Amino acid sequence: MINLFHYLYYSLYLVFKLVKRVGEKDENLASSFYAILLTTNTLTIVLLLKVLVPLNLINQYILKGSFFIVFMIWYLICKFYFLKTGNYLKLINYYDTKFKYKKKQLVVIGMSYILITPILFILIAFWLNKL
Amino acid sequence: MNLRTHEPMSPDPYGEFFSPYLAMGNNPVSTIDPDGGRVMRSGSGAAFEADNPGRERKVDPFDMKGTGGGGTTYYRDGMQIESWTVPKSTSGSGVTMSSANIVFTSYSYTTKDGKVTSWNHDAIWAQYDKGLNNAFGTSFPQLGGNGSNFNGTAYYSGQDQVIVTAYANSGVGQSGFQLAENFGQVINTGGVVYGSAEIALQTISKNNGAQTIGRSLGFGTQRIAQALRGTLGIVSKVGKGIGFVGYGLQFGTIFYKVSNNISISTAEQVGMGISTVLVGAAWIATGTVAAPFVAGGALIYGAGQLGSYILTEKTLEENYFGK
Repeated sequence: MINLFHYLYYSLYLVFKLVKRVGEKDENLASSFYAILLTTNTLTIVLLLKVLVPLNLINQYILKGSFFIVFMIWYLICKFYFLKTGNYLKLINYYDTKFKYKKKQLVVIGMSYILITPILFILIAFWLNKL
Repeated sequence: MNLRTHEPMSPDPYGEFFSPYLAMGNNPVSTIDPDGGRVMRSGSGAAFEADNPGRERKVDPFDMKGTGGGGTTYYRDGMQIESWTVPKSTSGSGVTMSSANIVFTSYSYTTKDGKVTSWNHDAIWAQYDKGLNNAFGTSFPQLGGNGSNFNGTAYYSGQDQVIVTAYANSGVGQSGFQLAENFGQVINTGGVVYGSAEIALQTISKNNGAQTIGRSLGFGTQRIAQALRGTLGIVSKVGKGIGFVGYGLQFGTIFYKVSNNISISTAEQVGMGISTVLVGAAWIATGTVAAPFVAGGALIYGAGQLGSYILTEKTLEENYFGK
């Protein structure tokens, strides 16, 4: 699971690295954007649990603010785990060597992850709403 | 009330205030007491006459706050109006019928497929007689029990009764939509701020605009260039942040609505999709040559949404797809 966590971060980093930017670091942007995607993933899974657990028992303000609660948790995890501890350097070096000739595939995976995550949430929300 | 001496002719039969000799609670501006019984709020007479020929008097739910026990949240026309308590209702969240003062003349709720179900006064009392005291929690589970919201209009009838016409669920749904609309405006404003600042920043950097502005104002070009770039950079970041907050709130609202079986409109889905694309693109394009294009997109979309909302009180998606 931790490998998947690393792997997706690296894929996102490669996507951000595709274009030249000024004044912003790719690893920082990838970290905060990863938190947004992970938040969406988490809430999609929670939403799917609705089929089993009646979510309407949860306070409406908690539900409406759920995005920020979960986002802050993921944001802090990503910031401390990848950036503050300097893990991103080890990770990028390691994967750069490991996937030296497979970077295009990883970029595609990163792009797909960015696209699929919100689409999946919207589709699942739409499907559950129709149930 | 003796009009000549301005003194009460008899004590308040209902003991509504701390002194039985207080006429209208010492507040003759906003309350009336035409028959010496319970006080009513002024300003509701026209609505009463129009909506309820006969003896029922319409009372603005705003004015019904502050008496009785627990509270619940009420909505009218999809807007959350205020927390208030039906007089003489029993304590606790939600409106209960156990005090026997509250009579539901009619009651209806709208399911998410648009079906409207109604009960008339007798049917509701039949439920009450069966011992299903909590009209919202037990007899009508669609309302979700204690603390549930409904869209209602309150009628004051005679001396003792409050008659409520409630439209369950639709109130919550509309309120959710209203919230989404408001959140949508946050996104739009964020888009406009972000787009304008980013484009201005890029233009000034590209054309050495700071130097021109600095010279024309007589300031040192270096200083003005730094200040301008710094300010626009902050404004751009703030705009992006606002856009992100708006997106998160919209996301949360959809999450809430799905969780509570409240229908999401096509307009909301499309709006959510566009916002997702804009937030994603703004994030990825930060600091790149693509930033002004994304900013332009955000600016056009945000301005279009704001304009649409100001002119038609609807978002672009609502105008296209309907609510």
